[in-house]
Amino acid sequence: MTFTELMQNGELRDRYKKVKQFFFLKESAYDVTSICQLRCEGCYYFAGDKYKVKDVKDPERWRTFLQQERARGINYVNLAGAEPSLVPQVLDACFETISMGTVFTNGLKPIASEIGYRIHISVWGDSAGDPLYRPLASGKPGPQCLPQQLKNYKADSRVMFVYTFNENNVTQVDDVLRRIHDEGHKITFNVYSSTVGGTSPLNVGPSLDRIREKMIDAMERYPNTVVYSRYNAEVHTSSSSLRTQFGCPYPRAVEGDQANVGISRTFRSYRADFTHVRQCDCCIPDTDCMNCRHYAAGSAIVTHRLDLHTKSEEAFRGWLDYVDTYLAVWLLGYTKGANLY
Amino acid sequence: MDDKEQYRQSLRTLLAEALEGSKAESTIGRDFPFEQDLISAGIDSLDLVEFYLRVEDRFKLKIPQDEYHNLRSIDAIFLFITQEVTGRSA
Repeated sequence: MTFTELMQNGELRDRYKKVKQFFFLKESAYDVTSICQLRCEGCYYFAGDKYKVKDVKDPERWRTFLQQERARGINYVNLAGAEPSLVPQVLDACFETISMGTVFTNGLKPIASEIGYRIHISVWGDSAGDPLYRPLASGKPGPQCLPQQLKNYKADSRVMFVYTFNENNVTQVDDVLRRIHDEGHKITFNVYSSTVGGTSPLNVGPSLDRIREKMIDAMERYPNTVVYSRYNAEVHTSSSSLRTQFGCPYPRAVEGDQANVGISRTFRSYRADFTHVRQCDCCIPDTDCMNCRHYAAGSAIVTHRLDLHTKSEEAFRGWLDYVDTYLAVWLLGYTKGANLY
Repeated sequence: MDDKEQYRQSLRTLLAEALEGSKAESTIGRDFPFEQDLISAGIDSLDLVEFYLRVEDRFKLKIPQDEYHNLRSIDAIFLFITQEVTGRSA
């Protein structure tokens, strides 16, 4: 099969044109603070030394910084850190300067409705799992996160819940799905990916097949709630990492002249003091690349390999679903079509 | 028009087809320079990959992904095709 032949199919051509118009997005990642109320088991932020910085708290400095980012072509920001909702003045400054992006939050403190970013709220388990996986920074057992998240973001269309599967919480998603569905929210999936040298009990292994089956079952049971595709489920629960399957375009993983194209050229992962180092320039620094199954990483790793997905109609359908899902998860107002794969 | 010019014009047409519907569609005119760096011209990564795939289909050859970063102008792609065809017939 060739690309030209695939474009003869009207259904595939239309979907390709739909998703293609959004590839002008140029993103980078920014830790906006090094503080958080929680110390989640296996947290990526506190895994490395990213938190050992002096935060820039002045909104004016953030405004100037993001103006410089805009000048180098960045038009989409991923605002993470430890917990972005704890620095609302920084979020204001960011939104005023670059209006497209996503905030990654634990959802325990609401983000003002004026901040028109996508909001990804992390979910790590049900009422049994949350206190276990997400203790307070003080070391005390953590709160019931989901009820608080649902209360803070009731009927808020900016929100996308993100359930991170780990080795031990596969069945806990059932209760989470029901509650999110009942509130009219959307949810997508992530797979816990170990940190470099990490020995967290969350690290996935034998459960990958069960996770995939659970993802597909969830899509079938809640088709209007779960934003995902069968192809997403397959590539994120493969025994091989995303990098092994597709290569990785993030600056952290590429060298020499290959770093001059696409996301390899422009993506940076800034710490809360505006510094960045090339060895950490990917969406989740400190992840072990050979175990990377991150939903955020896949948004670049899978989408950039159109060339690998034009060998058959089936493969191309999978790629189209993946990109369509990625845009629905990350772009406020984008509507996902029916899965084609 | 000699063969080289025809090939390069053909590549320019394939590039224009790849840019259809993208933000960079207005970038490519009849006088788009053959030596122009495509990324500097504002062409994004998916447009480029689609262009390479269209080149593969048109010229019945394979462009390895690890060559993409070397093929950033119509002239560079023309040279690549010439070498491929020469190698095939050698």
